[in-house]
Amino acid sequence: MTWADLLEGSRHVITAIMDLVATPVLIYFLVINTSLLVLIGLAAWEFLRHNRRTGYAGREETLASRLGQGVSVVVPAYNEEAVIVTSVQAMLSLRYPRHEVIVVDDGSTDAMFAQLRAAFDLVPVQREVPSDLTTRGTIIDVHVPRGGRTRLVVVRKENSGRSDAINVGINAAAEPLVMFVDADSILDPDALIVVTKPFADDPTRVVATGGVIRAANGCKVVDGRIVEVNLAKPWIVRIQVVEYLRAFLLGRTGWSRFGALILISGAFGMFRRDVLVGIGGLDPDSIGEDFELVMRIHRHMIDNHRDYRVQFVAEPVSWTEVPVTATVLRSQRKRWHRGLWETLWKYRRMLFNPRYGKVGLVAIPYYWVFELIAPLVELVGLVLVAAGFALGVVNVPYALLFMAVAYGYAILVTLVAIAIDELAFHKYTRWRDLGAILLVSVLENVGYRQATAWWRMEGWWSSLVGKKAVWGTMTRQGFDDGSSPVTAVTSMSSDERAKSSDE
Amino acid sequence: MTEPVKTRILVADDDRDILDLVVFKLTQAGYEVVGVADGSAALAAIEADPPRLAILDVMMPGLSGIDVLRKVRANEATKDLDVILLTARSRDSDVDAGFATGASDYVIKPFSPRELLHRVNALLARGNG
Amino acid sequence: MSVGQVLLIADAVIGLSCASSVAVIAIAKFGRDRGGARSSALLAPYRHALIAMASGEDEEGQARGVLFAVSAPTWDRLRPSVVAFLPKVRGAPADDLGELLRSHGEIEAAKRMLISRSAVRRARAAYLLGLVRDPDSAALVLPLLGDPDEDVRLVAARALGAIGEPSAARGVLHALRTQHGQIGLPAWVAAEALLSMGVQIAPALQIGLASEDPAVRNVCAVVAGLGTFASVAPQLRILLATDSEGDVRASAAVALGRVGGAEDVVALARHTDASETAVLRRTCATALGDLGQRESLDTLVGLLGDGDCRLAALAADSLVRIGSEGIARLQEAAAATRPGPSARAALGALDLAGLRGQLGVSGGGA
Repeated sequence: MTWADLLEGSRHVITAIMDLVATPVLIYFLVINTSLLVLIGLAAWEFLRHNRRTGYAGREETLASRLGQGVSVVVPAYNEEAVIVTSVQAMLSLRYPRHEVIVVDDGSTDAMFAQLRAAFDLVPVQREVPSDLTTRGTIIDVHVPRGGRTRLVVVRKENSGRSDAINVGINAAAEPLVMFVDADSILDPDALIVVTKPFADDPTRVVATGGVIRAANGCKVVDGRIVEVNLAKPWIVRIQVVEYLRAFLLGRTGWSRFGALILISGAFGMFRRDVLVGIGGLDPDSIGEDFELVMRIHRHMIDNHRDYRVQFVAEPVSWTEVPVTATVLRSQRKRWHRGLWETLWKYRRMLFNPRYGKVGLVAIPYYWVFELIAPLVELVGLVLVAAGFALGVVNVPYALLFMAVAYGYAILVTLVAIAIDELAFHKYTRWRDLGAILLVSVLENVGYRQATAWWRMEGWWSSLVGKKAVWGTMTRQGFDDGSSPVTAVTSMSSDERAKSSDE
Repeated sequence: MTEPVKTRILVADDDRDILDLVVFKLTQAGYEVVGVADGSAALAAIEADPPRLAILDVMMPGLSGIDVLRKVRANEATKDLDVILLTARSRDSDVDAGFATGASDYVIKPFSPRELLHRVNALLARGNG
Repeated sequence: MSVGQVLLIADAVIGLSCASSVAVIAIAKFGRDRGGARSSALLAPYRHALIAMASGEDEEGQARGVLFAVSAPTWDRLRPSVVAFLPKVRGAPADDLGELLRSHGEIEAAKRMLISRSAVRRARAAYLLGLVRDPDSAALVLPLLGDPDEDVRLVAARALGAIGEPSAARGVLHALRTQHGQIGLPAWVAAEALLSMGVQIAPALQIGLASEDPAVRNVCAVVAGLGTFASVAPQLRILLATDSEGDVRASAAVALGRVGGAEDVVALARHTDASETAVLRRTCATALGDLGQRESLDTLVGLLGDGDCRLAALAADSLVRIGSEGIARLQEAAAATRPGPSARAALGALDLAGLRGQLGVSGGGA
């Protein structure tokens, strides 16, 4: 067989494949971007109403309202000596009439506990932690500040991972609403008021809520509070800022409005304690544990014929440091997509199952088709077009059409998202920042998108071949829903730890 | 003849209307008033040139009134500053929390400007007496 | 159509849309930057007068004179600032601002706007009437509780609460009912409005406690407790015992803890029984502490050894709150010869109470 024969053969193969998948791929991108526009439309409507409403349903009145239920802020922490005291102080001074902070020390080996003890004058108390949820790590002791008035509880336990630590925190929680936050997340001072509002609005129905997470990179932080919001300089961060915007502001808000929100976030979510206990808490063996939790809530509530609601509040509540290097970003996206896959597979019974209403018939299929498979389709399309060009068989109009629909349309969606965000929230006071954001909508498609698609495939693959994800003692996770990603993940060091562990 | 030195008061509120109103009221009453729109500016102003009294809104973005109060009380140079907190919270437990942090007094919104002035006068008189 | 033509059309559409998005963003920002500066420049002279009036410094009525006499177009631009000031102050300045609005015909205009076709206008009108607490408007705002727009209903409920019209209670509870799978009014808005209407709403509460909608029953139970409506205690007892919704039973328990008397000890004690859900048992144990009656002592002591250690802890805390008798019983339990869960729970509570300085206070902690 000569080289020419090989080339000729490849041409035939590529042409055949292209004939087969050309139109489906085009249609795929047409549909995915149109669906994003629909979600954005739903979100835009929601913002319009929200902005109108701020005139008369003020935040200060919510704060003064006597109907607010107490909140337990659960902070799973491992070796956080650098940030823990500032973080806990900031959380204790969140604006809310009634809340407590529960730090669960997951067997730290550094000076974290010593610092807490010194800063808050902790003394041990003889209080058993209830065992409403089964947990694995053995509890060592419980401390509270002397004086017994500051509502802080520090539970020390043997190392057993973040999810298990959170479950211990849920057990120890005394208030009816529970929120999980990582030790190095920075919360907006009004975060509790914002995410408890849906519970205050409809207390017998709402079971879980989430809010908007923004990138803390580049912002000025003083004592655990963001005092100045700036757009970070590195483009890799700016691209993620836009990703967050699409995902949170528009993705989540749109789904919430539609009534089928299946993903809140790992970095920030608030839940009714009794529902968490009812479903058994977080699953310590799951990788996408925040996604898995919400799916389990949906399944449980529907199976038990309960009238319930999972709601998203389109207001910023939390800030997190997003990855700054490609290595850490890769590790994050691999993990997210792996978690997405494993959870969707675990709950495959709900797929297209009319029993599960909008969640089963719309949201879950959407996630399968447009979040899970998206990187695959994108890469296939790209490879085909590239190979076609190389072999000289590409149908040029088709190739350009593909580009227009896959990338041009995506740029449009991003621009619309930015437009709505700007109209509703006017975040960027400087033209320079606004200009940079607009530029991102184009830049994102030149390299970043393709890279993240590849990494997501890597993550999916590692799950399919059964590669074990070895957890270090403490790993933070977030959740990726494909093209509109985001959530969690916080410090780089933990990602680096995670990266080295699942290589 | 030298003019009597006016007592200096700092007011911090991110709500422009309230800020302007309180600054005006206190200026009319004969005080020298400095108004700032956020907690960081308030803290910087207090540390740079301590006033006699500070009126801080609790609900400010970034550093809240309580955050500023805490820092003021922790600083040797400013720990005895009289501070009045302005807030929308009306539950007793919250008022207690405010006092626990070290507030000298607490005014609930919506507030009566005249009452605020009375409280300012009373606090300052107490300090002098 | 050939692929080439489709391509052209697709590209054109996308290109145009992108360009217009960017334009919209830029224009919006530009407009915002300019608009803000321009309107504040125009209104500057009047702002001074407004602040003088709002701070009560307008003794000679100078500011008042200026503001009452502004021309209609100026007033149009000034109105939002006046309305913005109103909820921030109280006392004489608030009354003055209300009068200012009235003098420019705003109250009358608002009453007419209540039946506007635009939901935004209806809401703004109701909001204004609530702000100035115009008692004559109550009857006009009442029908807005049944408005199809949820924002209008919300504003109407708050306005009626601000006005303090007790006859609106039934309407508010009616508006609360679930519509399209969602509560008709935010629960806290309804509750705050009801609580501002005073004790005369008790009959409406009684009807609400028997509503078919659990959301309504729940709000009524909460309001009963926060507003100390002792007259509905019998109904709360029934809800606690028999309601189909766990949330309502818990709210009833909490309310009984606040408004009940010695006769409610039995009801609350009964529901700390092991046959009830953990949540309800715990809520009742806490409510017994709120009640503070010595008749609860035996029940609470009995719970100290319960397998549910949170329940035991709550029971122990309740004993502390009841007072010296409760503390004495705790100390007895703690000193038991055979240390077991009861002793542990008692010790835990005494430990915490000691930290808080609640021991040795004869009236009890809380």
